[in-house]
Amino acid sequence: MRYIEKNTDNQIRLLKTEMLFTPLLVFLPFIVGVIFILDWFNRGFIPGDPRFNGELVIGFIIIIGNLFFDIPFIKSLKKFSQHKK
Amino acid sequence: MVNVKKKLLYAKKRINSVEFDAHWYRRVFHTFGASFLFYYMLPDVDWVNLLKTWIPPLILVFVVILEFLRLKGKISSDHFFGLRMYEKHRVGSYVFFGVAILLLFMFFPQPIAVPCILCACIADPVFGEIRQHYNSRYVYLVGFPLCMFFFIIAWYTADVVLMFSAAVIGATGAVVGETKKLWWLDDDFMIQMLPAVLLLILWYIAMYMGFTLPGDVIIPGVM
Repeated sequence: MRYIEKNTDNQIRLLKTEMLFTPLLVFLPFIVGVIFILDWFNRGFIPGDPRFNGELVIGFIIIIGNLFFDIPFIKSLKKFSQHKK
Repeated sequence: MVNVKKKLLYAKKRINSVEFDAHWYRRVFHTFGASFLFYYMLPDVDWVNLLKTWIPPLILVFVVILEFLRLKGKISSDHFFGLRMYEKHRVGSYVFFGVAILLLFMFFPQPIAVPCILCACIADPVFGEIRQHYNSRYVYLVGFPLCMFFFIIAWYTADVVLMFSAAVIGATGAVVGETKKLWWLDDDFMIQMLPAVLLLILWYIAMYMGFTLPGDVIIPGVM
């Protein structure tokens, strides 16, 4: 797949933008996933309410789904940052 | 001569690394979208409901203005990391993604919206990876059960017949929506809206026939 070509000067700026967003892109889904699981635990598991079971599964889907793509993304970002140096 | 060859190899390697990077960046942006499901967990209180009604459309208006300025050439496309070549003179797929999520939030019941958002956020990048590494046929083989799984989770409180019907119809809509690409209509929109519209029809038919409809899969929090 082809992406819009960038000149060398712009690459550094783009990489900085990408790095700026990385904590948000990586950590927010994990936080949301954990909130879902905690909500299931507090309002579903402890009182024994099965209505919250969906939240548990969705929490795991969000965490696993993100983990699956976050690892290669961070690896590629690390590789590219090292490459720039 | 050797020096030129080395330089060419180095340049090629660098270009590839940028493409690789943009590729994973797009994938992560997709999976990040699953965080928007937190919307359904916000408490059902007057002032929160007011924010829920106004903030998502305002964000979308901001994104649309940004995209309008980009297409008009007021903002360079170079500022948009990970934008594809064909998106340079067309509305970016992230706008379609946002419009579809907003429509789902505003006009569709939660058991329809949640799996459709999961299809766009989780299944779509999985489809892309399968297509890149294997044959397109495997997209159907892996993608269909994955989407079915999402719909089963959201409809598990409904009647069993209705749950499986929703799963099959929803997964078919998601797979067809993702694979049939149009230049002016992005697959990020279709993967969400096609199954959503099909399921909305099923929803009303099931209601008319007296089936037990599914309850909310995400229960709003309390304050």
